[in-house]
Amino acid sequence: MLILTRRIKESIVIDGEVVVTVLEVSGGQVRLGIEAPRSHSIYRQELADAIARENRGALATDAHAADILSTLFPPAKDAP
Amino acid sequence: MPAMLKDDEMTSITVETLMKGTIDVPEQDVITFSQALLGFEQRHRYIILQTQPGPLYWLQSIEDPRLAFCLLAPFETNLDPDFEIGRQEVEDLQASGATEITVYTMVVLDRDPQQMRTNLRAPLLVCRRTGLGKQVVFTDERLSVQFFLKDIPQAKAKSR
Repeated sequence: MLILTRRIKESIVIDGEVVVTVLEVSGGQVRLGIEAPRSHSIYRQELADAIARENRGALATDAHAADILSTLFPPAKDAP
Repeated sequence: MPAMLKDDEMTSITVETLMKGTIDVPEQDVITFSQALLGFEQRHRYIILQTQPGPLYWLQSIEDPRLAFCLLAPFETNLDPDFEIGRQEVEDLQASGATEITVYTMVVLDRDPQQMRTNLRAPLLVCRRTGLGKQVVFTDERLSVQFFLKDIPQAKAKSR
């Protein structure tokens, strides 16, 4: 891990296109400002962890659960 | 050698699947997720299968037969979520427009039907024509990571 010390209003640049600026430090909290092209998707680590957890939960490991699920969406009677 | 293949000369590939055993699929049905699904960074190539009519699908890895995720096509239900598919997503999938993109959400299976849920915050976007897919993470915090299927109005497939 690269470790850098920054003061308020100071920034770091990543790959010449992402700029992370320290905006505010108070108590145990740090506010960061991030400027990046739209192609970068930026989110908190907790959200990434939650998405990975739900992805793992979507794995078909339980055929019985899949059967229960299909009862939630019964085939339409008038399907062509 | 002719540069173009005729339709009946399209290559098909053999895929071992969890739900349907070993099947042959046209190679153009393969969806490549160059940015892998979160938590599954080693797997990039999938096909989408259906085992029964309705809004449920399976995302089957063509590299690992045991890897099959349950998907919901939310726009084929009464759910109708507020997804904003913008220029970036269209560009990522090399699609010609948002109408070319199909949306799926990951479904968490549970023995308790009350616990069955889907992730509206990070759906899969797929463009069949280009064979590209991506799990996007929407910034809209109103979209729930755990939306319970029992809360879908009537929890039934939309009648056609």
